[in-house]
Amino acid sequence: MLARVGVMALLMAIFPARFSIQAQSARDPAPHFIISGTSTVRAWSCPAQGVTKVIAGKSSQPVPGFPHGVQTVEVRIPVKAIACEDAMMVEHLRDALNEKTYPEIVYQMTEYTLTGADTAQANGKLTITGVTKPIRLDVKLSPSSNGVRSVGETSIDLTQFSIVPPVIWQGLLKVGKDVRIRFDALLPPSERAGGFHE
Amino acid sequence: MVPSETSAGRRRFLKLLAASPLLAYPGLSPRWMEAIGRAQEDAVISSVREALDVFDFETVARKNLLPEHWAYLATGVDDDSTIRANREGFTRYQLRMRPLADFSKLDMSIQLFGTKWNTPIVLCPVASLKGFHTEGEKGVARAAKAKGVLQALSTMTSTPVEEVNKERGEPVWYQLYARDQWSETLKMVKRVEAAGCPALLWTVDLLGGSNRETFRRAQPREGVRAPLCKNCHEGLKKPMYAGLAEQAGGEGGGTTVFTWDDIKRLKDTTQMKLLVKGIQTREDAELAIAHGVDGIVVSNHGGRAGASGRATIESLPEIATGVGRRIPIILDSGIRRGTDIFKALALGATAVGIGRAYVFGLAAFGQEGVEAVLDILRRELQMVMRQTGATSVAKITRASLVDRFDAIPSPASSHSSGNR
Repeated sequence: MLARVGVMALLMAIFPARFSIQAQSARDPAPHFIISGTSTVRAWSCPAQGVTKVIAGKSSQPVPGFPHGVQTVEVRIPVKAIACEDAMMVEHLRDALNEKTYPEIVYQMTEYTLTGADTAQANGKLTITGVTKPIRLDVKLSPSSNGVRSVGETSIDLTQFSIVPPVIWQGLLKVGKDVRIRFDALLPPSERAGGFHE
Repeated sequence: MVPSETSAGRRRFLKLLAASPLLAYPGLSPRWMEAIGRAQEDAVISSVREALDVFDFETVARKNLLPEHWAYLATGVDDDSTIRANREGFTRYQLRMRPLADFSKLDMSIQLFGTKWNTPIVLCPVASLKGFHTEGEKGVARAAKAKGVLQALSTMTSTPVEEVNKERGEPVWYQLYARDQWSETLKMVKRVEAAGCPALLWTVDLLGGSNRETFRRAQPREGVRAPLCKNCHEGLKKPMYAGLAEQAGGEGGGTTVFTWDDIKRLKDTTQMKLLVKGIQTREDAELAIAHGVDGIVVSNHGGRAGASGRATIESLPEIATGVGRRIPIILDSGIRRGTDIFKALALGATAVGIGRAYVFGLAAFGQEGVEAVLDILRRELQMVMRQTGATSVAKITRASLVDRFDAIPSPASSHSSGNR
């Protein structure tokens, strides 16, 4: 169960990527993700921090904070960065995600489309424990003098990633297959086109 | 983001259908039953953005929780009539709408012991919040901090008060269940005071015991799901009982008899403000003031204490008359709507507490759910303030309401006036 939670954390990492459409890679402050789900006992949530790298575009579609658009976005979440309040959940999470073999969850945005003045839809690839699946995310962008805030959420079915939701205590506690991922990050706005921002 | 009216209407229709007595008709087609079952699933919101009211979170909470944990949250006493009375009591009072007031500036703030709060909503103490969501009391504290809401922590908390205070960013109020041994009560009070808590709410409505049948019926029989509950609870001790002697009986269920004389014992023990929680009559409100309490909480423990069959909102008018604004009054039990909060304020409450309402949000979506519940109640209260012309809490008065019982003329008055 908790191991699968780790997977969920990965998923959350993916969603953060959407938000990373913002101008630059988010090292400070790091994008914040919350993975949440259910079980037969109670609902749960685990926060995670990741690293986002954004390559600004030279033309394409401008988005709030990126006057020349975005070329690509990559988000990496170290499995160790997933910080559930329950220590046992963290341990199971790392085991489930096979941290030693796959220390990171990776998301790469391949394309995006503006859906409104401050919203966008991004298509990309999510890789968890070596399995890569296409992912579509919706993000709301809110530029300000402090930067651009990216917010959004999505849901993922673990079984679609060939992940069996954890079961413990002789089957009495079962984790739900549906995981929700929320992302909320404030990123400084882009000041130049092209190049790699960190 | 406001959900579309179409999806909201569909959800309401499906809920109505699911509750229809037709479902009990033996001749109903299995395909119909299957379709209604799917409709019931569809009627459950999947994110806070879809929520229209507090009841939407209740549905998700019930779905998310282990049946035993849901039963603990939902239970009343005896046949749960007091829980029902708490809700029905609000229907006695109707709102007097006065929409042409200038509500361009709406002030929902209140003052409690010199501290200004931007809303009259208080998060009531509820036990064992980690049983409802892994975020537990810390998630609630973060939500309270984000929304600037007063939070009271239960003695039966699953998170130590020191950690909750840290998460909240300031000390919370603390709800006390006195121990059989006064020395043990003293230890807890001193610990809470050392943590910086500014106020103590001494709960008295469980001193006579409670008969929580709904909860007891939901407990697993030996050999059936028992291993799951034992894994959760066996060996666990509430963090606020650390270092204290064991006591027979559960929540508030000791054997010592407490009286009004114990108010002075408590006040002599601490510098914290002392409120008595569980006041339900004018006599007890006046006795509380006479014994020096700093405030009272009009409460029947959410219908989980005694089987009075009486709503706290119906107890409030006599209590407010007896108190005469000498001390603050907080009312809780049965609050689910902004109109409920408004009516409580109009009948004399200084602030209004929610319990199950925010726990529904917690069980549904964690901290996010608690915040959403607070946003919904705040929004509803703002709307009713605009509709009734009350541009501040101070302008919410008895004149804002009609008591349906007042509209019925007494036989004596109608006879003396010559009416037939």
